Amino acid sequence: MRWLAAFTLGLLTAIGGFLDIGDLVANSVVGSRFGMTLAWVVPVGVVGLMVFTEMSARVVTATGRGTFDLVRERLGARVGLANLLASYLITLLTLSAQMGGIALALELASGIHYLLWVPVVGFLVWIVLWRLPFAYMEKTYGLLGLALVVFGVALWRMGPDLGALFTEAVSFSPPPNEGAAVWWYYAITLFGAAMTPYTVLFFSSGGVEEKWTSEDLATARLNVFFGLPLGGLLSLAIMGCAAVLLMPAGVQVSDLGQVALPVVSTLGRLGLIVVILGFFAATFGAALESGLAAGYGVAQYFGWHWGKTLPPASAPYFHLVIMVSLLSGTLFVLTGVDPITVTEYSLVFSAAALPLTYLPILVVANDRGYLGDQVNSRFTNILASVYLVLLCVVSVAAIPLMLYTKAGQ
Amino acid sequence: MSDEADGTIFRIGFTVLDRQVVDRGGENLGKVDDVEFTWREGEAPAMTALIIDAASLGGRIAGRFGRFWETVLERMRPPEEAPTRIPLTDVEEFAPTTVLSTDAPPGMRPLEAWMARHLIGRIPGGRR
Amino acid sequence: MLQPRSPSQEPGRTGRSPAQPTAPVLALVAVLLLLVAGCTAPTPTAGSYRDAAEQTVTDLLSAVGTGVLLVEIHRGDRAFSPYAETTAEDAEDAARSIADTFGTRQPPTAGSDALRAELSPLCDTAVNALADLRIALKRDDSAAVEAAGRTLRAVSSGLSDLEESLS
Repeated sequence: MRWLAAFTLGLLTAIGGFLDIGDLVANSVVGSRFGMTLAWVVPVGVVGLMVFTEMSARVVTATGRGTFDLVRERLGARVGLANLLASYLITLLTLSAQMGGIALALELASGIHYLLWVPVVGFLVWIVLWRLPFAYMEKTYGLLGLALVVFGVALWRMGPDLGALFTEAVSFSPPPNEGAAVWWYYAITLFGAAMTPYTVLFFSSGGVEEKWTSEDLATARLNVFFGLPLGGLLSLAIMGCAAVLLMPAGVQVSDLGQVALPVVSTLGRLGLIVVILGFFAATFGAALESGLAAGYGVAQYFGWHWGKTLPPASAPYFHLVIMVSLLSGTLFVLTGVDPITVTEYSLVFSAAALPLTYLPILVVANDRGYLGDQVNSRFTNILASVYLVLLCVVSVAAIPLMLYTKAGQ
Repeated sequence: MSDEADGTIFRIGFTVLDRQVVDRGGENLGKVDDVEFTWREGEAPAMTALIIDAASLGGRIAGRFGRFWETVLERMRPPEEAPTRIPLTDVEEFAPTTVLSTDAPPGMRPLEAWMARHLIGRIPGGRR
Repeated sequence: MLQPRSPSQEPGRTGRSPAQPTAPVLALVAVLLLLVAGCTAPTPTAGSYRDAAEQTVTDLLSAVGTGVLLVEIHRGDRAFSPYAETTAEDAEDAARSIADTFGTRQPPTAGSDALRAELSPLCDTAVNALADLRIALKRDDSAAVEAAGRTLRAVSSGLSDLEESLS
């Protein structure tokens, strides 16, 4: 029974923790502009995430070290540095986007301008990373993030024509008023939202923080194989809500308030409370994760002491990196740049750097020196290699498409 | 030459360099950034120590960027801090993690220790 | 500290060694050129003006549509005022920015003048209606909200007609 409780908790945390500002914005924008025609991207992204997250979990339980900790060892100082620079800069951009998202959620709740919330947000994120115990932190925002199930409820309440939605989803072509280039650009954005690098970065080090052993592998796998797809379903619910209500109304999502419109229209004040809570939990959790991921990446490259579970004075450089990252993110958002725009750019750049963040995982997970006979099975390797090819294609296409479509117009 | 008693051959590129160094108590020291060889008259050069030093990493990141890295970090290094040198005799095993038979050498990374005492430690909750 | 010179440091510091990366520099220049090309205003032709008008109409329809949905939400008393006001403000700001961007464009031909004569009033009406909505929501004035809603619906159908004629 205790096992069941632990499993349920982990599962719920995985579902609730899956979404962040990138998913909220990307799924909503795509639903409002393209209906369900890009729905196929979500399962593709989720499967990729599942494959690589499971690999990371296996590496952690077999070696007791985080996957990215091993990148420099296995691939050398130069490749490790390239991987670090790309991952760190993108994680920093993502962190800024999440903090902007938290401020926007607070603005929707209070009416107070989001820029005034930004320093508060920066401080709040820091204080949680400084004081709150790791497992407690993860469970809290994971469970609160389940509030976003409200999108599923709203979609169900709208009583959509599921057959029409399904037909749209399998049509594999853009709606008549949108061009192919923009369609593919948003496919890449959506893919970047599903496979954000900081998730795996955080996950692989988080497992070390929680001192996973081989007994925890089964639980981790269950969380990955059930939690992530259910999280993907939530993404599709957000897309569906936008497709059913916003697209016919001609609304193209560009602000966080519009993302919540379907829920508010259908479920009224209660729905509004729940959805804002969900926004806050999702973005706050993601800010915590990306802040930690930034610290993990740098500290593990240089081999410093690292870990949230250590007292801060025992890992000073690690906490310094986190503080500097949070400060940079806060200052960046304070320049007044639109957080939704920052989010969209963070997704495209994440997509462009995906191979650099995921290839090392594949290499490490195949190394018998680290994993012994727990290395990847042939099936896993084939699947992962297919994904790597896909990631390379996405990576090469991302920036040119962004320039060509002027970021999605 | 101190390594394996049975004459195992290994290459520093894979087995030694960039490995995480961990002391007897399991504490992280850093990654092996460079390796020290001693060349005595009449003998072949022998590996004598592991170097943990972010600046010397620059020499291994080739090209202009590597040289730039090395110069900047050398300049930024506080005077009392020297590259950490771990004699090979302290090494128990090289791979997958380089484990030492001793504790961390004292005075390693004084800047980090200073930061722990004066900056991080001063913020409430820093020591818990 | 005497360090043996590694082979990569050997070639004379004065000249470029073959390993000197000119390819990354060229790639960087190419990307910068692309970025600049994307950022500069396109050459004003009737076609590009028309495209800009189409984009303006689409974006305005989005802002106006948001306003219409907010009116319905307010009618059903389905939202707290901070949410409704913030979303209305965002829509108004977006519409204003879109209208300004279009308004500052120079119409290249006489045909474009006609297009501008049709679209500009719609832009102004949309922005004003959204501002009215924002003010009415802040005052919780249901009659004014409904009035703004009527104007928004009218603008929306005007914009939709224009959209059809342009495509």
